[in-house]
Amino acid sequence: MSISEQMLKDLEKRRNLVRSGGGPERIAKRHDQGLLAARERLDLIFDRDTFQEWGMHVEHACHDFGMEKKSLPGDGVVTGVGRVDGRPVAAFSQDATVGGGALGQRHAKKICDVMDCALEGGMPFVGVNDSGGARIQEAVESLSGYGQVFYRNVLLSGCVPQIGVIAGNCAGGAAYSPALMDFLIMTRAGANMFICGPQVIKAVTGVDCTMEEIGGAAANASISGNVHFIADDDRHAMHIVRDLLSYLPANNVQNPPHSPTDEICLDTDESLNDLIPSDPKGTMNMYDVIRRVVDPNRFLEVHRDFAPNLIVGFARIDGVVAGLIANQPSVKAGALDIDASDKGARFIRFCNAFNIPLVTLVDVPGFLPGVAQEQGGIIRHGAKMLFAYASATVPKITLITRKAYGGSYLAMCSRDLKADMVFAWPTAEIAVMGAEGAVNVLYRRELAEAEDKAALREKLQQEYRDRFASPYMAASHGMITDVILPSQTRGVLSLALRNMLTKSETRPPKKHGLIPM
Amino acid sequence: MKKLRITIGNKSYDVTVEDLTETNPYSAPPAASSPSDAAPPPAANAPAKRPTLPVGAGAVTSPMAGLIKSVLVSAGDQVKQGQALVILEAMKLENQITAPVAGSVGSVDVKPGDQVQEGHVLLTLE
Repeated sequence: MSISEQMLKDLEKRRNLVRSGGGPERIAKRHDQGLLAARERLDLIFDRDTFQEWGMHVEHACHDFGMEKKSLPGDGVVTGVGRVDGRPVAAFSQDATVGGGALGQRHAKKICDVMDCALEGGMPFVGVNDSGGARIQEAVESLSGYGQVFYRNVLLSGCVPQIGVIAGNCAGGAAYSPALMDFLIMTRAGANMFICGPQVIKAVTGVDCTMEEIGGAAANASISGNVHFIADDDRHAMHIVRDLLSYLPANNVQNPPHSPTDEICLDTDESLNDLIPSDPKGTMNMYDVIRRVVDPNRFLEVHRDFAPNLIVGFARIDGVVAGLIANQPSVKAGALDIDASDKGARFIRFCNAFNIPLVTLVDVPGFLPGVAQEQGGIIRHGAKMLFAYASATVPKITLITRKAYGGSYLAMCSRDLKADMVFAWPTAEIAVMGAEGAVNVLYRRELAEAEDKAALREKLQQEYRDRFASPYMAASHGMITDVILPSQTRGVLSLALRNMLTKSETRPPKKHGLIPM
Repeated sequence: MKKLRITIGNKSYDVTVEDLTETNPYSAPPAASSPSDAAPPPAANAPAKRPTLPVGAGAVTSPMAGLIKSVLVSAGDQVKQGQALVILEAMKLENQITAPVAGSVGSVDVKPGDQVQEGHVLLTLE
């Protein structure tokens, strides 16, 4: 007794048909364009042979416009569960060779099924977007499909990490599913993401623009900040997915994949002392500090091209995963502006949701002054930083390197926002405002009456700097855990991080806080 | 795809026509508003609101308001990408404004002591 040969052959035939997607010619054409097929993309994400495909034999559900006679293998999307570094991950990959990768009712259902699996199974969810949009032959059923995906994006949010890859077209309403996810990776060439394209913009507003200006990877990554990572090609994009997952827990009740070293390295690094400009007005490149604090090549920067005056990313310090937030004084003096606040707050909230400790490196002169900033709402945007840090219950370690002025000092995870430990270099300037501004306010009358105004101003400013532009005033009030030498930084942060890993903090229950949107 | 009926003589043929010049005949963006149902175009005299875009292709603009402390290059100089061009005193720092690309300096539009706003053209690169 044995299964009939016919049945085996039939299944093999059906499988081969589906696996060939829109056919070898269309796939070959994509290869010529430097693009990979939908399944090839998933193969690059998952550990070898671990991908279990779901709904391979699903067909479309359209009976109009002659579609009933047409076959769309898998309904234009590949879905399933595979393993990344030995952990399960649910995923979909739209197949642009099958009906343009357009989303119909069954296509949406396949995506929803793996999303439900991700939520119930507590596993990350990855979506590779490459679709012409809604399948118009399926009309409102297709539209409804998008709605069901959006709803699940929100259900998954904060429970499991969601990573979107934009590897082709992603236009109109379709862009809102990626927009609801945590991290977006976009390929440099051949991918577009926009709501209204150049033709619609031209028709409605009369303004000429190119696709590159509104929907290209560079515009999405640097101007709007919709996208977090730019990939050189499909292969690179899938590599970023794996790299990103290596820092993240599978879900919000697990810890991130820490692999703490047996010993904490307490060696000093004298080169950190040399990084600091002798003139307090000189700029420092914060990347030079980050490089010396994190494990070699263990820093994955997020949103690199957006608001570069604030650096955020995932790191390992002696093997412990941390979310790193740092002012970058070599861009816009490291001041916090609208975009930097949005970027920082979003990253902090992600880390808090997924139990990733926060390490904050401070060198901030203030919130950026300007008409555009005020009218653009720097008050409510800047407040997001305060809100995000104050509501975070993960370990919070802060290092003040140089400037820490006024409200922006508070917003960079100060002791008052319940940082667990705040360290400061001797070069730290922790004050309510800079010497120039403070002297003008404090000595207005004296300066008005003085004969040599410039000399008096300089003398008063120097007195103010000597007394207030240091870490010791704040330290004397107990606002600083300790003043450390720059050369000690790595060991001090590593030890602090390790000591706080078991932190547990509970807050009064509520539906949710109201971050100023 | 379009369904058409062609009649030759007395005989009718039902045919389906697929436009192969379109990249994807099965789809359209699902919710992009069409011109007809979107908001009316703004009045012709509405102020253009794109304050932070570079003025010219090779213009190096000020990232924030501040005081020009010094200008490190002159017209005609060859500069490398990342080379410091201007020192802008702002936000308690002497900020280096660096060349976004390599090129030669076309014009220098500021001098030490000038107060500049965000978006102000500092110099041009060719």
